[in-house]
Amino acid sequence: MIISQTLSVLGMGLPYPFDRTYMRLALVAGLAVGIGAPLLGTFLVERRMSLIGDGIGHVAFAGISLGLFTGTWPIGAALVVSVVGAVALEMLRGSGRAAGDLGLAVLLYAGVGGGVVLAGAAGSFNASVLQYLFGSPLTVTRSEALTMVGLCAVIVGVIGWKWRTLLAVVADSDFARTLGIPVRFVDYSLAIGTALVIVASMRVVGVLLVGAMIVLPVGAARLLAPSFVATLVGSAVIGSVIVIAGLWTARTQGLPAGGTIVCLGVVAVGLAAILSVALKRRR
Amino acid sequence: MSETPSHSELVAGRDLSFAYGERLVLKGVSFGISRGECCALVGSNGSGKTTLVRLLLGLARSVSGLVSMPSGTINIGYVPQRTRLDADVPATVAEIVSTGLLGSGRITGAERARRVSEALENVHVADRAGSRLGELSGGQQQRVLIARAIVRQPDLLVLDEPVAGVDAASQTAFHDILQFQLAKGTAVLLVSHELGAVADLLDRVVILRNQEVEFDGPPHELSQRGVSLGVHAHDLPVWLERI
Repeated sequence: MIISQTLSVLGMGLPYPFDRTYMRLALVAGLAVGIGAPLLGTFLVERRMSLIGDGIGHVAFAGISLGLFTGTWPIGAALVVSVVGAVALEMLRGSGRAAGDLGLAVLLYAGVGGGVVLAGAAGSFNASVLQYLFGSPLTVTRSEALTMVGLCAVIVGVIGWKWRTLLAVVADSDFARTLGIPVRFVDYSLAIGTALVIVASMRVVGVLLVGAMIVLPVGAARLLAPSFVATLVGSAVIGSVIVIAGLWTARTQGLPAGGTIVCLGVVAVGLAAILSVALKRRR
Repeated sequence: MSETPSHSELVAGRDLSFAYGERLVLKGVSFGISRGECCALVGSNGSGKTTLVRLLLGLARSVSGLVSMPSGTINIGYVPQRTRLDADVPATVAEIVSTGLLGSGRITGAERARRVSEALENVHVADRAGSRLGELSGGQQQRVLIARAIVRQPDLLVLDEPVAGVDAASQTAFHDILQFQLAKGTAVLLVSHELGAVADLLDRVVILRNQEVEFDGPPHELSQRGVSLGVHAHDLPVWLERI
């Protein structure tokens, strides 16, 4: 009800193509992803976990296929499988038993392999899977948009409250431990938060591309931002801009929205790199 | 060395042993540091200095032995080896130093800013407060790490190789910083290969060798035995033959 009224009010002044209800829903859901994913991603990038989104995204695909295979709600199955995968990955990483990013690679391939097999066995390797793989923001429902806005609000709230603690952990985990910060709890929270963001975002950009929304706006912001707080704010602003521009471009040019948003994210990183070099030369 | 923790000790480890897999690094080492004391922990590479510090800080668990704080919970400021910090983090010097205040109870924004500014002034990098950490030289980054530790107003300052690879100016600044902290009553535990720059500040030197404490006493005892504190720790085994 609230989101519906808010959208109606917002929609009154929005230009084409955002004057349509389905586009406004796509915009709200997209902005929630565009703000929430990079905020979380800022800490993942600095913790050298940039590809965790990709790994968990592929596991989410296995979850969707499991849901289709067992006849249960695909998003619910993806949520459970993603959280379990995130916890397993963090356990493996924290124990130091897997060399480098080997654990992530194993998780990623297990997700893809398991997902393809289960989707094939369910006879669902068709459009019903593709909307989760590559996103379908123009078909987002009100309840899905509301869920994404709620998750985004939680991410903004927690990071606004605890950004300094998270910075201490990503900058120097040993020092953080001497302060009494539960570093392992923070690591698990980041991994589980990533799983939640991915499942909530998969209807917008798809599980195969959601990792890009976690990383690309951060990659652009950290090249230009003068401080950590500016990096957080900048990544959320860049995430929002590429979502708006991506949805507009996709709708007006007849392109797939998820892929267009991600391509604009890559363009943003490229522009930020050029601007960063230009600014350094001027100094 | 006493085998029972003294109540004047801020942190004490008793009969600590540690191994990386099959390789024994510490064998039944006992070590404690008292309030206001300035102690250097020296030894050649692999002698277990950093491991002992990590055990005392609770960053690693010993195979056997016990670490305690005989005089109650204390505030520890830890300065790790500079390479432990990710200088690529897009944070300002002030933001990094402010993380040192975490766990110090509720603190207002104005108080935080004041203490961060004061800590940066104490290490002579106040003019770089708004710079990103990666823009600073190695010596300046080292001083930022010290500021992050002293902003907590610690009872014990633990520094792991604080002057390794830093320029002469930073080494001189380091002497002044340490002197200032000792004057405030802060105990200092210094792990270093190079003691020459701070030799005059030391109350005690502990030398680790072959997984055990080889020497534990005041620096003048070493001097009397012909061991120079100016000697690099790599050469310590040669000098230790004379003890």
